[in-house]
Amino acid sequence: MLLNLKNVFKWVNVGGNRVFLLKDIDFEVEQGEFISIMGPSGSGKSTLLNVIGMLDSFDEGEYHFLHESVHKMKEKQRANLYKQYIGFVFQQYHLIDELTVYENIETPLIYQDLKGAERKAMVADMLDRFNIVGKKDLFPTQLSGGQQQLVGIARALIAKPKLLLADEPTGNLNSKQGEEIMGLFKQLNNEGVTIIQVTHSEKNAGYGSRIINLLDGRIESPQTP
Amino acid sequence: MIKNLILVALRNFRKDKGYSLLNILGLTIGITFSLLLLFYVIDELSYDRYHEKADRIARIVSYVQEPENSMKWASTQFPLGPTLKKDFPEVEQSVRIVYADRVMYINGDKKFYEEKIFYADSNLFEVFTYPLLEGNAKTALLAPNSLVLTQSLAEKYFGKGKNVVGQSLQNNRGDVYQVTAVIKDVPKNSHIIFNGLISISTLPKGYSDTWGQFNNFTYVLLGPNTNSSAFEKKLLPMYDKYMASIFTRFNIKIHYGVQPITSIHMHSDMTGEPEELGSMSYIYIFLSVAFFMLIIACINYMNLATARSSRRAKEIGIRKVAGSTRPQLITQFLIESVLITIFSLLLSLVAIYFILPYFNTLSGKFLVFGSLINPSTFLILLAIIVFVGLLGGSYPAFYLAKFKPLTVLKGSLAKSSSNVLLRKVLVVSQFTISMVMLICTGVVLGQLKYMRTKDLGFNKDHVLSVVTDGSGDIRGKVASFQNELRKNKNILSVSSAQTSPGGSNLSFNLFSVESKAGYFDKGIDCYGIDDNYLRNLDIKLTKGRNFSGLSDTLRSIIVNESMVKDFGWEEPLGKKVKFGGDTSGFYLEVVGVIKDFHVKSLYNPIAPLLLFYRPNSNVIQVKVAGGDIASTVASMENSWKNIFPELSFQYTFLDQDFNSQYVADQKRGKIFTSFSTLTIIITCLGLLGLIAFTTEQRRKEISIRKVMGAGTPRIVSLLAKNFIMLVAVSCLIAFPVGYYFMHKWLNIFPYKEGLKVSTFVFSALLTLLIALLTVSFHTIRVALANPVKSLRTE
Repeated sequence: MLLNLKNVFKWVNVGGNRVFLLKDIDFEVEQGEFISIMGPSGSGKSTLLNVIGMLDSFDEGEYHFLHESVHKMKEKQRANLYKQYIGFVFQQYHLIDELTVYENIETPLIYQDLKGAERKAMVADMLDRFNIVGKKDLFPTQLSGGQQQLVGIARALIAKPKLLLADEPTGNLNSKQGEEIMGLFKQLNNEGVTIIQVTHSEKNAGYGSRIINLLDGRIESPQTP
Repeated sequence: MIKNLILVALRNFRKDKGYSLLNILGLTIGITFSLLLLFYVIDELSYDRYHEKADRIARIVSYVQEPENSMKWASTQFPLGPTLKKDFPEVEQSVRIVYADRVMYINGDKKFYEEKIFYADSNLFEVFTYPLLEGNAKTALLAPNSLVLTQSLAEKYFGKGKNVVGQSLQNNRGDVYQVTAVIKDVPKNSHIIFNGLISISTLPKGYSDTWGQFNNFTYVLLGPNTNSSAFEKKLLPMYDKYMASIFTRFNIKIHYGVQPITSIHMHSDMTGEPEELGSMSYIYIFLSVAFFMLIIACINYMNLATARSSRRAKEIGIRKVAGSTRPQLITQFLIESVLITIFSLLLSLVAIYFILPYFNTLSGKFLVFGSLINPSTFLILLAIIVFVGLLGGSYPAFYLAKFKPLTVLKGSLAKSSSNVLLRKVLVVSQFTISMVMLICTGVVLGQLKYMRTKDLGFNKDHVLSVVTDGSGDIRGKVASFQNELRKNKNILSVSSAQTSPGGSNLSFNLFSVESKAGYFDKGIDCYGIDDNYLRNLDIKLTKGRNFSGLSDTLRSIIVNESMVKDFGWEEPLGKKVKFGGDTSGFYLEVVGVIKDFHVKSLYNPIAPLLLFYRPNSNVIQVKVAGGDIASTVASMENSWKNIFPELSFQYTFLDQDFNSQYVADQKRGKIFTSFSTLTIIITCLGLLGLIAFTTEQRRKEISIRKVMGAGTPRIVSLLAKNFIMLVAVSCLIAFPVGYYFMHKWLNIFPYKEGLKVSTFVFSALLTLLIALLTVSFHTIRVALANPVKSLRTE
């Protein structure tokens, strides 16, 4: 088992009323799964993904990741954990505009204190694999949306994470580019990477092995596609 | 990693050129001018430290205590030097330096009047470090009529690159000197600067062989580990041993002070210093100005960096998600600020290279760029990098690194209100510093103007002062020169005296003055004038009469009102005054009283003054008609050449002469003014950037307000309101601070204008105006923009 959430609640207080963002989430993920989180706007999909990614905290419940208790950790330990095991892909790509493609991909490695030569080899591998060697010296603004997302994924994968989290990875792309990205995800999953994605589209969800439906912060009955 | 961070920093500079430029410009100006001030301060503090034995050389000075008066003289008696060496084992060497008269030196057709020539003991070179270019230091000042020249004086008379030792130089009194050595020019950072030295053995036998005359500087080389204040105590018995026999009957006590040579320039408060002194209070002022300039530049950087944080937020978020820790992010932003600082510093050095000549003119210094490049300067530069880089970078670094990645990536940063308060505090401190500087500038300039324009009790406009050689009998020549001048219709009147107001030949003698309680001994300023002097300079006679003819030479004196008041004379006319110590019964009698006038600078309160009748003395005052002064001067020169063919014609304007006493303060005042202006400019730069970003942040709000129907003026006033509040808060702090310091500063002046409310109001208004101008520059632009455009992008 890769991770599990047990009775997780998350809420905000708005003018004396408690508004629940996540309600009693029970959720397990095995290694090698490809899970799609679906639901209408405001149902808590992104919040759940962020909690899983340890970018956001929760108010009640337990979270175990690789048998470690995330809810008991300090921020720094959490950061160390996700730095090592989790890669993120964003809808808006979130590349650093001041860095080239090459440097963007390299960034996570820098924070893992890897040697320069090692980094070079790993980035070169990744560029090769994604077929973007020719674009390595370009800046994000010089790329199309699909290409930017490709770089974003390459960056998420560079540190060889066990878990890839993607928040509407194709949301800003046209359908052809979207298909390519999803194909890539499928392939990665086949190679053993666990993936959790948030998506609006049934079609994209179809690439995964399991769908989780959220409504008002609560998991509806699980279903398999 | 460092490489990556530097790379990002550089790309960030490039990407946001306006912002980087503003930052670099602000920092560069700040660093450039605080460095200049630091160099100035370092130079001031470096005086006389170049002597190898500087820590052991001290100057002996005299404290003279009269019953009602005390004086501090830089000079001592002639026998003191040898006596010190004889009586005190801790004195290894003693050196006397005596002023030589201002005379003309002649080598063929090269004739110049020379000042700053001194007689000096032959062991001068064993105590002081003056590198010799030619000649032998041991023997140079031994034989009578030996002359040591500085390099520039040697070149003036003998030309460049010539061997000068062995040559001779004559003066206009017929004395012939043998040049025995040439030394490098005396460094400008010396409390005493000379162009030439004559062996002291040249002075006539028995010269000033008395403990009653204070006419030379005495220096001692103390043994290692001699404590100067302990040594000073040991000198106390010298009064009883050597001086009591002369001074006890006048009730005068004398003791000596020991001044380490390195402290003379900054700390001496003696009268009769050979060169202009520095002032510790200006050192503190300049250091604080330098410090505040850096602070303001840092604040600019902090303000701009945090205000601009929204632009960096995304990058921070991604870096955090990618695994960067807070310390790593803090490092990144500190590196950025240090890089900017280094860059600004390099620019500053370039700027200093070009500005230095102007700064030298402004400050009267002789700083050379090459000599500024030394290890201690590098330490200062390093300190600045650390100080500015880390201080300026610290807040942005900690602030930015605190961002939660999720909030940042969601793009909801505008809510961060915590740093708004801090920014306000920073802006208030900038306004406060600027305002205090404005107040100080106003007060300093006001006081300097007051000193230049105050009614001195005499007329100094259009009066030329011509000085002839005072030696020998020149009365006849002076008389005929005056007569010659009177023929010129452009010359309104002519007078002569032993000194002009502001001149240096004022005597200070001991008199025994009649008062209600018998005769009273007191030192009084005095000099001789002729019968035209008072009329020529518009000095008003309030009682009695002017000098009228030769019969007045013997006994008549004219005194000023201060003298009348000091001795409590109800009827001053006919009061008797005797020369101090004169028991022959001879006395002088007051025949007239004049209104007080400033014979000395405004640093000195008006003191009792006593005038003798000495017609045809060597200082001639010429009042000329306005208009073509040049041709009048030319005709004066003609008359001069006929009467004094061997002397060159030199003249000064009395008003300039008098004001030249304030040169040091004028100079420092100018430095202060220019630098406070610069401080304000830096503040403006920062404000400009800050407001650019805050208006940008409020762009959406402004657009909505516009859609709701708010007009441009309403919007501008909405944004300006904040800054008016900040200026108001700054006033509350700046006024008392400015008042405190300026009140203290003005206390050193006996004659002052006082603090004016208008200075304070003006500083506040100017700050407000500057703030509003800067605010409107951006806000009007934003307010005029089409609101739909900015709403669409939200």
